[in-house]
Amino acid sequence: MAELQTFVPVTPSEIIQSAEQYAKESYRLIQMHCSATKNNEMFVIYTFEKENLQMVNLKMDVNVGDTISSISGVFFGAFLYENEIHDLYGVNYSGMAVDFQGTFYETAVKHAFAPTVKAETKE
Amino acid sequence: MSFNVIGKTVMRSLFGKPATAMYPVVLNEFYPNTRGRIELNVEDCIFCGMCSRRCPCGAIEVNRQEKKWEIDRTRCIVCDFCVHVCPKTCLTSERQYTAPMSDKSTRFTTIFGETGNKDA
Amino acid sequence: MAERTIIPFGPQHPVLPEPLHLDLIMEDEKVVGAVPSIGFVHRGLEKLVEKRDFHEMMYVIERICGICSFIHSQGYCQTIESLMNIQVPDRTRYLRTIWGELSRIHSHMLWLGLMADAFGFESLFMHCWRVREKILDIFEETTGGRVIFSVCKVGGVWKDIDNDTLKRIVNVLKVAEAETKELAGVFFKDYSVQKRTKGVGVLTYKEAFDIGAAGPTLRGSGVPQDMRTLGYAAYGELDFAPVTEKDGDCFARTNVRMREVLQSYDLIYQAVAKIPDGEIDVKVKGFPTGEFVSRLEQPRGQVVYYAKGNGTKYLDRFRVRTPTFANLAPLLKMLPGCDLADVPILALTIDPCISCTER
Repeated sequence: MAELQTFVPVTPSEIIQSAEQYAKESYRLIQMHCSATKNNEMFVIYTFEKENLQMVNLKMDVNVGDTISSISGVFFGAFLYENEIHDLYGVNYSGMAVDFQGTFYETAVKHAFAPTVKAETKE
Repeated sequence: MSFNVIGKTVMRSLFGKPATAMYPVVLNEFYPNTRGRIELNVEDCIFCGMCSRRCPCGAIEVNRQEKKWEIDRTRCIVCDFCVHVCPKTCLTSERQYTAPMSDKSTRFTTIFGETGNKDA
Repeated sequence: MAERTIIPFGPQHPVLPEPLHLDLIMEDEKVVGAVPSIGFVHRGLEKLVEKRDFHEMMYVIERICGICSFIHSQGYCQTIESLMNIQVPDRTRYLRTIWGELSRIHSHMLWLGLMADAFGFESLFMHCWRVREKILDIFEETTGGRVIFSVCKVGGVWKDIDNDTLKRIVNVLKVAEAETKELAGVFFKDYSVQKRTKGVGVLTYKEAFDIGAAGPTLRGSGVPQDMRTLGYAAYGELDFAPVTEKDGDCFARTNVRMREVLQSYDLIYQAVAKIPDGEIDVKVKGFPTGEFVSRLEQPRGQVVYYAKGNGTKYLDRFRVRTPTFANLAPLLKMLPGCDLADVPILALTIDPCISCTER
């Protein structure tokens, strides 16, 4: 299924405006996640979808310890994704609808997926 | 809005054959494709170590000098990847599952090749 | 002025197939709020992508969940194939469709049984699972395993089903379909089923769409969205329409799932009639580069896969957003206003597959 994949770059200061713009055009948020590459670059991807299955992706570069404003005022379901990104990658979000304060996934190693954490190698 | 719509199905199963088998008196017949346990045909094996490198769980260990092939039965998930990548197709998955064991001391199955084996 | 108490629900509960914790804020017998708590089965599977090359990662991905296992492996293989621009043969696409629809039948029959058990209707529960056993026997005969199939690979499938076996499968399914239709009559018409599920947990069209619901939770409120209409695998050549209901309560969602089971039988008959002969795999050379997002339809709803490759045999990132993760927010919207005795029904109506949610 070859769909055209568009990754629109966005900065942390304009994310709330973009989210409100997409909400006005009747898009909904379907996922948010964070990725870390081997060269210690991290980015967050937001995916929005319309009812006719048209999809658009936004890409935002972040670092461990950044504080980004939450879009759960616009899209209520976003607080789950934001808590997960905070717990696994160490990126802070301000103004989440429900803030679990680090207890969403209680892992033995805090922020386990972030590139600055040295994980113990186990087969 | 009806009552007791399931009555007909219940009556049929009450007077019909049971759906379960009386295990252990009646044993289950597995299918030819069932993935139960990995076995090695040691005459064809060249001890290349391909199965050991590709195993997702690290269950197989191969030693070329000693001609030793060892599998940890408790780690193997019987995914059949080793069966597919073996260049000599000497691994097969048998139908019978590994028997339960009461402690972990018997979990290894070790097979030695004979000297004078055909090497690639 | 009613006093507020907090009652914990889960993580161990007889209706829940997987551990989910809810703190229910109650005023007398009515729920006024809920706070979810997950993380009991978090295994960090997405981090294994750094240690397993992209062929072996398939075996990790299909073990994310036991119920929706095949569609995870199909989605993984499809995403990597789109990333590397590999075209799989036609017979492979049809085989994956047949296994995918059988997976959908078995998952929905499991859920229907659990739903019946949730309101105490144990004989219906046992009969639903009895039909499901026929499907699991088909899986064991064709792929080697009842729950985890290990049959998809990047570039095709490992095992073929020959045409005689396909005819035999269709005959078994016709018997199973007749039994399913009897059970469907119970779900649609029986008094006790309707008394427990009608009017419970209503979600309107707009609420369900905006909050991000997926799958039967969304289609039970009237939104006709089904990822299979995108045309991946062989769905572009099969004839079907998304199943929707208008009311948005638990009864509507149960009906959607029951009708999807009957629709899946029909899709399998269509696929078996149209399946072409040919190869079942292609050779895969090279390593994946770039990023790709793909969406599939699991029994529980829309699943989103994201893969990023960097030209080596290890992927950079593989992300799975499962439908239950998206359905947790609608659950929090449905709970306020219901009775304590309805909470198990509501927790089950979104089809919680928590081990998928927190890989």
